[in-house]
Amino acid sequence: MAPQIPRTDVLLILMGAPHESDQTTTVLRLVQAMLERGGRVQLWACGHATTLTQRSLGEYKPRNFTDWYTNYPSSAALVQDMLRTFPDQFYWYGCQFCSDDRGTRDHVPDVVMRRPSAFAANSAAADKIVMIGVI
Amino acid sequence: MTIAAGQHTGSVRFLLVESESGGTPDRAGLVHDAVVQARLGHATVLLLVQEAVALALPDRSPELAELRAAGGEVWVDGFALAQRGLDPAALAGPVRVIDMEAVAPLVLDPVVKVVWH
Repeated sequence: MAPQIPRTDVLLILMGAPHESDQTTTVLRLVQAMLERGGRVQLWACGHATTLTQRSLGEYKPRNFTDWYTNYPSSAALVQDMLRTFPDQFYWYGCQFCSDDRGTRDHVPDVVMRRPSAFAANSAAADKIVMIGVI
Repeated sequence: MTIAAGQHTGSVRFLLVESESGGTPDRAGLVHDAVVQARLGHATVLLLVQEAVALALPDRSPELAELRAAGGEVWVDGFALAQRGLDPAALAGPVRVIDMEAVAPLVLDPVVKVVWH
């Protein structure tokens, strides 16, 4: 039997390469704000956005030469932290097809990878869907 | 006033989020869509994020003035302004410089339609 998708207020579909713009930080800031006011949010990462949660990113970003002694979390670590901080409110799903197509198969364990055909269940479990970015 | 998740926040019906500052001819993009919705009488917020915050500089987007004249609101992401070294005082107003704490209730509000470009 297919796993039940928890109902949420919002489903954000996030697409696009993380370093092409500051879209990723814009969206994560919005997600944080929604979670802090009690919102239930699921995020479906598609296209190049599936690379955000690769285990190979490790815990920290490469060292910032202008701030040598500060460790900045990688996107994977940041998402993992948000999922663990808001365990009953926030859910991160990744598109298996897009992930395989980009060779990003090893994701942090808190992320749930789903086939594109399973997306209908995610959209049915959300009161509102917002699509962000281009693949 | 604290708005709970899923609670209707008021009169806003459309939250249109623009992230780009160019490439779309005048009267053909999301900013124009915001003007159209406002003129139809729908309470509309146009939120400028990322590169689109530059549209709020003087003489960049005449359609923002049209939006305000039609009753719409222009919000600008303060974080994006700071990243680009743009002074909020230099923006052609009136605009509301916000953070995501102001945007979250609109996205969570089941009545508000959200479109992101």
